[in-house]
Order: sequence, then C-alpha cells, then structure tokens
Amino acid sequence: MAKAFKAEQYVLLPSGGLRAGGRGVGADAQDFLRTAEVAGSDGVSIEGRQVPMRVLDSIGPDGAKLVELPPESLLAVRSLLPSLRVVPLVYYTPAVAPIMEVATKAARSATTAAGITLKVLAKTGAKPVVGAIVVALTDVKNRVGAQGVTDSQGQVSLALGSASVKLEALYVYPADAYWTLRKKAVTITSGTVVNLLPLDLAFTDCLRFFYGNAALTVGTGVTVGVLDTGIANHPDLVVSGGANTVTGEDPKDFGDNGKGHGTHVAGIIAARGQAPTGVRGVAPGVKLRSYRVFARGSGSASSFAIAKAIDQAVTDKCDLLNMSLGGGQPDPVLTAAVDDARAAGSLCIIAAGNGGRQPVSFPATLGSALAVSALGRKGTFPPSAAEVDDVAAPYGTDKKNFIADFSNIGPEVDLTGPGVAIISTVPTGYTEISGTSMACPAVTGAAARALAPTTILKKKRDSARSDAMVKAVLATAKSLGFTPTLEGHGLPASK
Amino acid sequence: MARSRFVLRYQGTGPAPGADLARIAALSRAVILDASPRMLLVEADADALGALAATLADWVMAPEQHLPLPDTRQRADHAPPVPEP
Repeated sequence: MAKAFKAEQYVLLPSGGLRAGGRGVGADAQDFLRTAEVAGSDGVSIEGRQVPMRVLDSIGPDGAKLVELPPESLLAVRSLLPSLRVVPLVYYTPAVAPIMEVATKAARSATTAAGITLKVLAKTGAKPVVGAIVVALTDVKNRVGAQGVTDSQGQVSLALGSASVKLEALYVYPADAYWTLRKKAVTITSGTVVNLLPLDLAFTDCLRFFYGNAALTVGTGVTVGVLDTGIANHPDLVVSGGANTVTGEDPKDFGDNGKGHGTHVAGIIAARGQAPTGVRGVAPGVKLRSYRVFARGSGSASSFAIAKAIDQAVTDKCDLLNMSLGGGQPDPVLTAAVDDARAAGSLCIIAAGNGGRQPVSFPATLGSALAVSALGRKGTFPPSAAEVDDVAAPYGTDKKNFIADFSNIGPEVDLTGPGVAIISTVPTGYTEISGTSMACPAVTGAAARALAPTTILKKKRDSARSDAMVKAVLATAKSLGFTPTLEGHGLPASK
Repeated sequence: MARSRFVLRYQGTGPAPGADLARIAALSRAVILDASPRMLLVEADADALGALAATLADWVMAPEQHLPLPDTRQRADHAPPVPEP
C-alpha cells in the first residue's frame, strides 16, 4: 500500500505494563489497544474521531502497538489517549568513545595571560553593578575568551592575553536589577566601561505579553510543587511548605540554595507582587510548595533527591509538579517516580532542555509528563540584551513570535511557554533570565489557570484524574503557527 | 571492585518488603546512605548489588546521576592564545 502521509514510527505503550489491563491505563486507551487492527486501514477511530495512523505490529491482541503516525496524529494521540506513552522508535548504534581534547596552547596559557579590567556601571547614575557575570569571547563558536564576576566597584579582570582585545562578543549577566547586555565586535582595553539598563518591573516582558497580570485569586485550589534549588523568602512569594530531599542536609531547609533558580521559577508561577514595585506570576492564587533537590550552593541535583522529592510532593497532594531540570541519561528510577506520580493523580511538567534545537532532554521525554519548549517574542526585551541571540526562524503566525534558539525540540514537546527574558523574583530582588526553565513554570501556571475552575481536582487521586488534567490543559492550548515539534499543542490558557 | 552509588526503588504495591531491605542492608560492604519510603541510596560494589537486585522482585536499580542546573548564559571554555613574542 502506498503511503498516504509522511509518517514516523512510534510505539504506543500503556503507562504501566505492556497490556491494556496494566496499571493506570485509561478506558479510552484500553479500548484502543483492544480494537486497533494490525495492517488495517490508514486511520483509527479514537473517541469518534478518525485519526490517520497505520498499526504495524502489536504485542498480543491487546498490547503495545507499533504504529506509523503523521505529526498531526501524534498530537491527537497524546491528547485523546493521555494514559498511553508515545515513544519514538529508536535504533541504537554503538557508542563511540570521544576523542580526548588536546589541551591547546591557549588553555595552557590561561594562568599567565595579561588581564584587562572592565567596569560595569548602571546606565543612569553610574552606580557599580556588583556580582555581574562578564563573558568576553574572542571566538564565540569555539567559546574562546575569558570570564569573571564584578566586584564591589563593578570591576572585573579578564585574562585575555593582551592590553587591547577585539572581541567577537561581550556578554554581561547581572545578578539582579538590570537587563543583560550583548555587544558585538567590540574592542576593550583596561578602563573600558559598559553600562546596563535598569529593569523596569512594569515592562511588558514575554510572560506578561501572553499572560497579562492575573488577579490574585487566579489558580486558587491548585497545589503546585516546585522541584528546584529551593525558594527564598521574598515579599512577592508565599510558600506554604515543602521539603529538602538532598542527602545529608536538613529536610526542613527548603529555602533557596544560593543559586536563585528556584526562586525565579516560583515567581513565574505564583508571584503576588504588583508592578512597578513587584511582579505577578501566571497563577498567583495557587498553593506553592518548595522541594529543594539541589544541594546548598550546588549546581547539580542527584537523581535520588529528585525522585524522593517527586514522591514527597505526591504525598503532600501537589496537583502539578514543576521540574525545570533535566539533561541526564534516561533513568529507570526517575522514570518510575514520574510514572507513579501520574498514576497517583499528580502531573509533572518538565523543561525540554536548553541544548539548542537538540532532541528533548530526559526526563521531559517521558510520556507520562508534559514537555515544554521555550517561546520568545521580539520587542519584549531591549535590542541591546543578550536575548537577541535567542531569536531564530521559523517565526509564528505573528512574525514577532519565535521558538528560542536554545530550546530543545522534538515530537515529545507537548506545549510551549514564554521563556525568553522573563522578569521574576530572585533572593536579592528581581532579574530576567531565559530558558526552558522559565517556559516550564509559565506552562505550570497556565495549567493551574486551566484547572482551577474545573471539578477535575476534586476527583479521586488516580491516573484517570491525571488524564483528565492533561486533556483539560491541552484543550486550552492555541497554536502560534509553529510545527508540532516546536510548539506541541501550542500555548496553553493564554489571555 | 568499583564501588559506586546506586538508587533502588520498590515498584510493588504497599511498603517495601522488610526481607528485601534486610538483604540489601546485609550485602557485604554495602552502605545505605539515604532512604525514603520507596527508595534506598546505596554505596556498594556494582556487580554485587546488581546481582542481588536481579533476585529481588519489583525493584528497579540505577546508578545515581547528577543533573546540572539549567543555564542558557554564554561562557568561555578556552583561554585565548598568548600572542607570539
């Protein structure tokens, strides 16, 4: 039979086991697994809707199915049969050991290179900008250059090897209060001053463009767990409880670990401030809980701590679990924890990763979770900001919209959310950051918006509840005109 | 033999069987570093723990992984070359 559509092969698996009667398999999915015929027609009826699909093989009469699907059917299957895992068919090839990188003369000379002292000041008032990360690159593609952090005078010494250097690009990432900066083709010498624009909390960033400023009651009745670096005390945030699951640390210490990432994520979901003195999250009425999985001062999280936090958040009756993390190898323990959360009526929403249009990172690849790509919009950050690098084709129906260049993409993407130059809370105030880490909580907040007015959260905590949550959230998504691998179902519950 | 950290997770219904926990705890040179109602973080010889885990029903085992904090900022990985004299 000639192919009627451009299709990819997938395995449709029950969420538990391999058969229709497995743990957590919804009635619709059971019906599909029992009735879909191998080598049948080029379409399968699901909930009365004819979905283009070809069933190539099956494990027994009611088991997992090998199918061919066009992209639009992939979305339909994930929406109509949320208790099935949709796994792209993968052919494994032998892993080749990487060739050891030869230490270059450049790398060896790092400690002896001459330094250039750069000064970072506020654009108005010439106030020193303290604690800003300055990255000076002579070769952007190969990441050749030097970096440092500004001191109390706003000064940083950069080991660039000579007294005057032409940079391909200079980046400044302030700790708070200012926009990032990117300057291209700039020559710097000792004494060069760069100026940063102050953040205006009333500015319409990408998050506020799509979600506005919600009433404080939006999201009421939904409990959200943030699995991250912890959440700091902040005037815009109310944290109702949580846990620290890092081995060897105080379980009650679920405040920010010093990195600020979790505090920023929490603000995107549920900040209760008011511009121009504060910021407002997407669903400020939710009950917010903090699960710290990154050790104090650390930039990595153990898979044990993450799985333990998922279990604890489920025990604490969190409806939505925000996981702005990822990048490890597929892990059966984390997979089981996410699957168990889904079976217990809680839904994990996970960042797709920042690999730069690479395949979606684990654990966002898991079919039991929702994976989120990062959306940006021209005009929602200054033209001098580092985020100009994130603008990339293709553009949406509205040509100002784009999926960020750093965002991972693929068939696992379920939804997209604002993730470029997002202004939110940090322990020392407010800052703007970009990443699928920011898109993920925007979608979590949107999911809370979608679920709060429904009766779904009153249901018994089981897989049927989770399935209903997924359907309800996906039903609010609107395509912005990108392909499904970029935006999934689109942007959920926007204004 | 290489000692590493592993996560064991019980996937059966109800609490993890006490007999299973006792066998893991009794494994030679195994150290239980942390525990939760369904999981253990264990430092042990990989082969010995793997062989034991294979005999335990409803447990999954994986090496402990560390996931990095996501970051989209530029960084300098290599210093520029020093100009020739």
